[in-house]
Amino acid sequence: VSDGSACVFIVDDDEAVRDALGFLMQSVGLLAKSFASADNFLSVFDDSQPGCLVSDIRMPGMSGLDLQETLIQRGSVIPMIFITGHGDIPMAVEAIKKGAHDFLTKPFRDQDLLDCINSAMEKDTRQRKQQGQRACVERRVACLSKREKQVLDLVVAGTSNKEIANELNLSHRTVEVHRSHMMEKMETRSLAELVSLMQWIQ
Amino acid sequence: MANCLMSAELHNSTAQISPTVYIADSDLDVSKSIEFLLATEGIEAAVFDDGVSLLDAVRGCEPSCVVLAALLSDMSGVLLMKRLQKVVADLPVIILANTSDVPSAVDAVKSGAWDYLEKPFIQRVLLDSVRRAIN
Repeated sequence: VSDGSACVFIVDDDEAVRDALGFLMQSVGLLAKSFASADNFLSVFDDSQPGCLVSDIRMPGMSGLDLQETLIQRGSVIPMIFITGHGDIPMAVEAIKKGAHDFLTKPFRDQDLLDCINSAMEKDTRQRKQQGQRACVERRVACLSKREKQVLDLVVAGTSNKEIANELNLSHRTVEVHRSHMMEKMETRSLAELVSLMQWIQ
Repeated sequence: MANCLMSAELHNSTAQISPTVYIADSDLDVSKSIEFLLATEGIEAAVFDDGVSLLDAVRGCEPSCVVLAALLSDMSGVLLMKRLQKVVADLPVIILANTSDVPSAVDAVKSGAWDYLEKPFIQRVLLDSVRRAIN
């Protein structure tokens, strides 16, 4: 199903709502896929596909909040927008505290939902970009030799070359060579840049 | 209030100060009843009439949690929360609202509220929320 373009995943047990939402998405040129239940959605959902989720809260079987919980446990960070016909504050508070992007009560204006979807899509793009950058730094770390990795860990911990030489039982000159290769592979030019990069991926 | 400042001075910053909850509601009866409710659970509390006096107090002695009415005489609970969290980052704030308005609840939690409860609140629910906030 995944073709890389952003998609609005609609989960609602009410066919009329699915049709209306699908039509609304189509009218503004958004790709949408509808599902009659949370289980149906989960069985095909692939986290690598960019997009956002628009789900009803009250559905027979798995509720919207159960779906949120399942997605969190799966490690998915897809932005979720919940729609409810009943203004239930504790439910809204719980959903938002768990990281839901938004929580709309019916009736809402089409534009409110579209605004919400736009900001959810932006959030998804931002998150994916960060994930990509993180993966890139992790790949660089994976390319280091065992020694270079040891030097990296010690350098980031604030250890001087002299102390590293003692610690690893190497000559000062050898440490300098490992350090220089490590910096090159990490594509960093300064210690500060390296430290902030490593802190960021942690 | 005086108690809290004194214990803060006595303990200085080295010792763990017992959790204190600050309460602000323009309805003093509500504040007092929450203070009493917390006292029955051994949680110290201090009551404030408005946002400005609570804000002043926080600069002297940091509370572990704050319970605010959504609307105070001088500012909204959410505005006060934002100001408080500039002084004490991650301070848990529980907002008590008169209206059951989901968008307001969503906005408050998105802005950093720990919890958002409708009045009249259930005592046990508030107590649970405060307990989880201070732990």
